[in-house]
Amino acid sequence: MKFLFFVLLLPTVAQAFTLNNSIGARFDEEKVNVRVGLNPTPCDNVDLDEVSGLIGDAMDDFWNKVSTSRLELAASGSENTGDDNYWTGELCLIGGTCGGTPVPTQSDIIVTCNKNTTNFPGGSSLLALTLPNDISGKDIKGAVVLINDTNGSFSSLSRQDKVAVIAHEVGHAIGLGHSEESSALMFYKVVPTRTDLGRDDRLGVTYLYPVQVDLFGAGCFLGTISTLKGGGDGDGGGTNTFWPTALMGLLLALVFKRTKKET
Amino acid sequence: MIISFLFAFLFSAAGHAEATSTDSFSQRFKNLGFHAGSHTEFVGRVQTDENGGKEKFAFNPLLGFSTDVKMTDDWMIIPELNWVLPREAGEGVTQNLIMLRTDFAWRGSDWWRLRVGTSLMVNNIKGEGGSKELNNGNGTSRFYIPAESRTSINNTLDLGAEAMLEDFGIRFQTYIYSVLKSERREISYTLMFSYYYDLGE
Repeated sequence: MKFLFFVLLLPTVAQAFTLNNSIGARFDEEKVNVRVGLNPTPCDNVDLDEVSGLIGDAMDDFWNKVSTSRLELAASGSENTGDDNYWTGELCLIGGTCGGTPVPTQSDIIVTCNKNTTNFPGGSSLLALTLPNDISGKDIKGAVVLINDTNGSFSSLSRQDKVAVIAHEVGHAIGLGHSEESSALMFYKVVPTRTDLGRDDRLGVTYLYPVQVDLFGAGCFLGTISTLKGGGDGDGGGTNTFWPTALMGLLLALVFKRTKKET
Repeated sequence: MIISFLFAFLFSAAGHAEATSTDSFSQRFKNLGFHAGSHTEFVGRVQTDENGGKEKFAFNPLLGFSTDVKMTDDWMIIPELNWVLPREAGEGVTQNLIMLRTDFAWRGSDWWRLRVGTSLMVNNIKGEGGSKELNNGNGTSRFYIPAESRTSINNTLDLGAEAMLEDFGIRFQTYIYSVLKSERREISYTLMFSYYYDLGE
């Protein structure tokens, strides 16, 4: 019996998700748009049309599958940045010190290409990076993902790896840092077969965007964090699903009561 | 959460009310169940290694207790509380999962029964804060350990089957997350052994 209790109290496999900021900042909205940023000058090595097609898979194959997270990432086409600084600017890594070109402010998440060799040193094996999030209070207001356009390293990847790279960078954009576990999408490098999130990733996105009493996936009983604060995007989450779920519950209770009377 | 508890109370109260007219306390509350087992989360949806391996079984110890509330000879309502023991989730981060459950159970015979029910999965992730340097592919960067306690709460549809031998039972219990949203639908399960302490006639 002593042995049994000893086994039961052992901590199980250790994971280690981290955040990319010290305050646990996150997007306030439960639906966040991910767009391709089209610069005035086309990229040299990255096909942004192709990237646009990959974003949907990157969201649906990874972040949008987590039942314990309320975050919904939506591929929302493209928009013109109107600024070649996205393409040529000297920017910085998450956790690093920004220098050179100011980080542009954007709502939601912008994915584009960048060929500045300070960001991607010559012959760099870096495939992409995410700029420090635009944070106001404890809310992330926007994030920019840059794909390495200094060489063909990104374009030479398989489709599956490109999807994983974009999903990894979007992980930074929503507030996550790196994981030390190679099974995690947020591990610092591409692994041969990346098809799902690891436990670290799931814990991280659940920590940042926990669901608030989700009724069988139909919606939240008590509204989401954003709707409780009076926000919400009015597109199917939060309070829009409160009354349908409450009515369904009432119906269940009535059916049960009627069944009881008949027996 | 309050509404879910109300439903659970309604269901239990309905069973209780029927029993009150004919049975004694000990007949309504048939037994106390004590459970121990292992809980596996999100089968086939969690990558476990670099080669694309997925989670099929995980050893996450679980303890729980319940009581069988008799409705008819073959049907009963079983409120249950389970706790997956705290799991370390990295340096200074702990995950705690508590299940507030109610099952309807149908007794097929003296040695097996089927269960259908619902749970509130209260999943708490708590961090102690701090930071660490991690590889970023081009050197290292500083990343941060969570410093707060945050909780997700999911309502699941549960199906289970239990084999029973005298005072003991062995159960395969599943929990279906996001039943109504196919892209987020996920299944967790528990394998558990139970001891039922008979409250007597």
